[in-house]
Amino acid sequence: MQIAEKIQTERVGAKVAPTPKWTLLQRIAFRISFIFFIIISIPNSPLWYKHVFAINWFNLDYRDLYDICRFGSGVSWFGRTTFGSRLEGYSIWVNTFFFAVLLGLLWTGLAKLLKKEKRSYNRLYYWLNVIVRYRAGLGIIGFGFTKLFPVQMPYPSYGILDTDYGDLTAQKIFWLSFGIVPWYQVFAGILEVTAGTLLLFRRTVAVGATLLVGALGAIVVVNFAYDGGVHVYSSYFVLLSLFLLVPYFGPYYQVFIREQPARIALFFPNFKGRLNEIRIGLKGIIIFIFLIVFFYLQYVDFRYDPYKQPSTAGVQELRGNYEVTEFRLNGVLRPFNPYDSLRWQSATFEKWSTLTFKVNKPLKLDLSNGGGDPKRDVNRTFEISGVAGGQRAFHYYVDTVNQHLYLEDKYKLIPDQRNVTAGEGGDGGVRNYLKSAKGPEEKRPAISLADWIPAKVKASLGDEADYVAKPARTARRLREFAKADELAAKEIRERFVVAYKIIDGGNRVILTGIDEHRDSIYVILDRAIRDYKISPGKFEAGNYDR
Amino acid sequence: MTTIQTLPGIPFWKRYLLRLSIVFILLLSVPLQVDFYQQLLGISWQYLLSDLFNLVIFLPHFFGDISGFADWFLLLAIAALVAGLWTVKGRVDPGREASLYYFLRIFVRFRLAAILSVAGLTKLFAIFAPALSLSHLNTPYGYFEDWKQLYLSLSAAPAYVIFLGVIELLATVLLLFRRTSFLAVLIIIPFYGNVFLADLAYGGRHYLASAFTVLLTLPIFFYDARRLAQLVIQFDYTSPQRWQFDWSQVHLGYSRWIFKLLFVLLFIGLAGFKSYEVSKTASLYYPEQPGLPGIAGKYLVDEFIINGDTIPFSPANKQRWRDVVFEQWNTLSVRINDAIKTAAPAKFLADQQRDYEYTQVGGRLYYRYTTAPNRTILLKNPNPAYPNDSLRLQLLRPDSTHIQLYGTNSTGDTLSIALQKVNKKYLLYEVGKRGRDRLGFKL
Repeated sequence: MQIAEKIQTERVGAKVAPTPKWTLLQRIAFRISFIFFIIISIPNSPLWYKHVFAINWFNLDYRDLYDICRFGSGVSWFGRTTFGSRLEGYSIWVNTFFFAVLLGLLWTGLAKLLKKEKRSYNRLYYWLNVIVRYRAGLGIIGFGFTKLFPVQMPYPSYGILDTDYGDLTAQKIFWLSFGIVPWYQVFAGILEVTAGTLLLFRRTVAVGATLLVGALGAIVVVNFAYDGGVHVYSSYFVLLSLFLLVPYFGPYYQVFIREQPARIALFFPNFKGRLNEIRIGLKGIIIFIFLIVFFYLQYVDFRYDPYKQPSTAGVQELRGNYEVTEFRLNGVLRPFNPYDSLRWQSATFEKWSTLTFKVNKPLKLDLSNGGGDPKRDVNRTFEISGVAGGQRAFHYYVDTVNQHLYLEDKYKLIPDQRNVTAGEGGDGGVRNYLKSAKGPEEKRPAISLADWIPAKVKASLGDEADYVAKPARTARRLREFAKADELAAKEIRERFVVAYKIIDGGNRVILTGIDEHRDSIYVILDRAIRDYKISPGKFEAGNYDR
Repeated sequence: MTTIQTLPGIPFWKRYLLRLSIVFILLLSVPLQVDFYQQLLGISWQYLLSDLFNLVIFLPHFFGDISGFADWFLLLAIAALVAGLWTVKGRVDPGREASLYYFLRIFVRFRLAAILSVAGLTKLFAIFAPALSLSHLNTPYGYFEDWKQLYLSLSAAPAYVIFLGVIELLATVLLLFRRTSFLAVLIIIPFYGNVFLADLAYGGRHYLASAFTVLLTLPIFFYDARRLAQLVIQFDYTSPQRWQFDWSQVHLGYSRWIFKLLFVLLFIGLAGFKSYEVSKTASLYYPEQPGLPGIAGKYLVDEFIINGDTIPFSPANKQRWRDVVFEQWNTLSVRINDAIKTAAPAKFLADQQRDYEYTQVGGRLYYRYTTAPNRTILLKNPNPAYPNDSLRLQLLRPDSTHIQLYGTNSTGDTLSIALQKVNKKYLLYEVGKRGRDRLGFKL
């Protein structure tokens, strides 16, 4: 709405060449930025390259594309510290910057020496912007899709709903507060994917980068405030976006603050003929893969195999909260008593293949974010990570013919490494937890893997890889399950076996068997309807009603 | 470079839209209801900030206790009518149009600044979200209503709220100056657009307050939006808008800075000082009355005798208390197995209510207590859903970890209850002390 009288300024030469000759300072700054931003836009972990070459493009998993988008970068040869400090994880940036300054000055010196001074770096600057734009754009698209189909922050499990607020970590509290409002999460996802998409087009870079600074800037603060652990990776997008905005700051200041005419001095090469066709073709392929194919893959993940929740449906009649009405350990009745450290206090069977129960004793906790890319249900630990209150969670295989549950502890001392391909400069994931080099000694479990499930039963359980619907049986899943036995053998977990009996449609459940210490247990569970005030899950991920 | 002065004809729809905006925004902003003035007159010095907060977000509410879409539609219809008459009647004078738009922008700038400064100060001084109470820490996650979840999650990390406050105050300062106001709305639109969506998502009742904030930004935004697009999207040579209102025509026009100064003194100076004071002294959420000395903590119920019958530990019994929390203030809460009727909170930050601890949460019964002679405490459930729930208990403390309670409840049952303090450690705080980066953390 411009209603006022206008001062129309005649357009000055439509084709103003952006600053014809760059000053020495500009050239040095450019050279340093060039080296710095190229290095931090390129994956620094060999695993990433290995991963990309191993992708089966005919049976893709959402995580294949996610991993392409999410990688670590920076100069890692100088270690993960600067003068002995990790700088909250930012040291790799600082080291890379020092390295870039060094090379930038060397470059300037050589150019002077060889008398090869350039008037300007307009063309190179354009290409640097292209690289940073695509790096930031694809990176945030990969991040955004896990929210657009809300799987990054799942709705709390029955076990978590029944956990006292003070028994959660701050990180967990924040993630859950997003998980309970999936539509809000979807909106955040749309915002991130939109911002990323805008970065792929030169005319919308300013809008995309500004959105990114705002959204990811807030996420950086959230990560510091809630100890979320992803502050470095979210700052990464803020840094890249601010760099992309550099040409815009001056003209904005001129026009809107100083009220002087101005224009953005950006150079765009003129692509012609074949070159332009190649450009459009490449861009089309990228958009097709990272927007259209990715959308579909993330939908499949959301629908059948939400990556932070086990995907196998739990026994239908068992699901819900239970009070432990009777508990016998080696035949001895242990009446309900909140001080008792052996008795189960309460239990839940989740929608998926998990049993949780509470005991009144300190437990070792998984304090990771509970994310990552595991395909095996037992390793999907969002329901236990950052949760205390004496709650134990066991993954189970069910033999419905003989009505037996084969349970294994979801907790293991060393959690799986998250975002393997992220490498150095990622958030470090589990490596951060390995700082205390040698953890406490681990006891061998009383029931070994070999003693746990009889061969005949194991054969009848079928291939776990096929437990999900067909579209989710991706090459990546099949590959991981091909190694499942090998992986399981390496993990130290407590395991046990119980027979279950469902009475009155699941209002009462009786478990008999031997527990993880080879003690015999007899447990009567009575269904409890909790008086929850939180609104029930909407738009829920997973396929548990088969 | 030549400049050509032009006075373009102004299409009808632009003139209409301008008048519509002016009338609609004024109708929403100027309080026409008595309760606003009652609040204004009843403004308290001690709780200036909470009163100011409720005044600046006051919106017309003809059909209920808070503003709803019906109010907005009604006012929009009136505005459409008035604007129509005004547009038809008035003569077309570009200078007049420009001046009207100019004053609309001034109005919304300061209306916005008033909202943002007060909202920002409540966050900067961490008054916005209260600290978590011990009772909340001992209530399972599922027992909080969605809106409460949002508040609790903000309470869990005050640093984030403070950051949000800093952004709001930054926008406030930018709004005080015409030339930075565009930048301010570029910050406010995504900020309050997000607040609006969060309000909807978590079932907040005051979502129209954030919608109103976004509405106020639009006159400023659209004034410069085209130029911004020309500059950053079309990469064109862009001239600023140089039209200026001639303040010399206006009586005392050059003294307008005094009003700005007064505004700053009230909404930043005074409000800032008062919020600092509140943050240092009292909570606006929890009772002011301190609890019994040294009693705060979580207690398990070792013995529960009602009318002479001992009820043993039980996971399902609806009468028996499961645990008891004594707060630092005069609240005692009891975890029971029965369903709880929740109450809705009174007006946000209203000082008299202090209902934060028991509204929108289940799992526990809450009692405020007063002391009476003979080591007796009188307990009263403040939840309006439990009007008759009260207890009279003699409270004995044989040692620092045990409490004996004897007395009667409102239905005349006699009670004898033995409590034992438990040394509860909360992961939320423990992990902050030791960090997440170690293996085998045990709790």
